[in-house]
Amino acid sequence: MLVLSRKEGEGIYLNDNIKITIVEIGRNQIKLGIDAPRDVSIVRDEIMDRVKFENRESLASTKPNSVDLPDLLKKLKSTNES
Amino acid sequence: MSNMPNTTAIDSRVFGLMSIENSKIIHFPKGVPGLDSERYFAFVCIDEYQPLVWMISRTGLYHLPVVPFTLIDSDDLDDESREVFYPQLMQILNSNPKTAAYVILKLNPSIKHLSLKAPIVVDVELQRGEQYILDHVTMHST
Repeated sequence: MLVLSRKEGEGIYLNDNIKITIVEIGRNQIKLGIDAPRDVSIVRDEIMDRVKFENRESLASTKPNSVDLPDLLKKLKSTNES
Repeated sequence: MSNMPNTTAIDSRVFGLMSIENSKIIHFPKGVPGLDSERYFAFVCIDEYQPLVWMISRTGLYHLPVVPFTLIDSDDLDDESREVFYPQLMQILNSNPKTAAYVILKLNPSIKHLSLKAPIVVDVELQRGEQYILDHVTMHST
C-alpha cells in the first residue's frame, strides 16, 4: 500500500480526473472531499466488504431443497400466480 | 446468415450441463463484488424455483438466486430499503427505461425481508449488468 502524508486542504489525484482532498481533520475522524466523474462509484470500504460477504453467503453450492427456501419465496410465488 | 451458435453450453456445478440462449447471458464489465473475476452471468429460470431466477456464471461455478424487482412488494423489504434505497433504485431505473432490476435472495429461512442495498441492474438491450451499491450517506456537492 502506498502511504502519503497530507495536511488539511491538501489532496491527491488518482489519474488526472479524480481528486481527493483532505477537507477537515478531527480528533477521531477526517473528512475527505472527492471530485470524480459521475460514473465513478464511491463506496465506503465497510459497505463494499459487507456486500462481498453477503454475495458469497448467498451463493448456492448445491441444488436447494424447496424447504430451504424462505417463506418469502412462497409469498412471491403466490403473488406471481394470482 | 451467421454461423454463430445462439446458445452457450454452461456446465453448472449445481444444475448440470445447460444450454443457455446467448440473449440471456449478461456482461458485467465491473464484475460482481466478491465473485472474483467472473464477468458473464446467465439469467436462468428453473420451473421448480419460479419466480426465483438463477444468476449462473458462464464458468458454471457461481449460482446466485435473485428475484425480479417487479415481483417484490414493499412489505417484502426491510425498513432501510423501503425508506432509503427504494427511491434511489427507482431513480436509477427511471433514468434508463430498458433496465431491469433484481434483488439477491438469501436461501436462509431465518431471513424474512429483502435488502435493496445492492441490487443487480441489467440493461436488457445492451446485455450489460452492474451490481449497484446504494448508501444512506448523503453526498454533498460543492
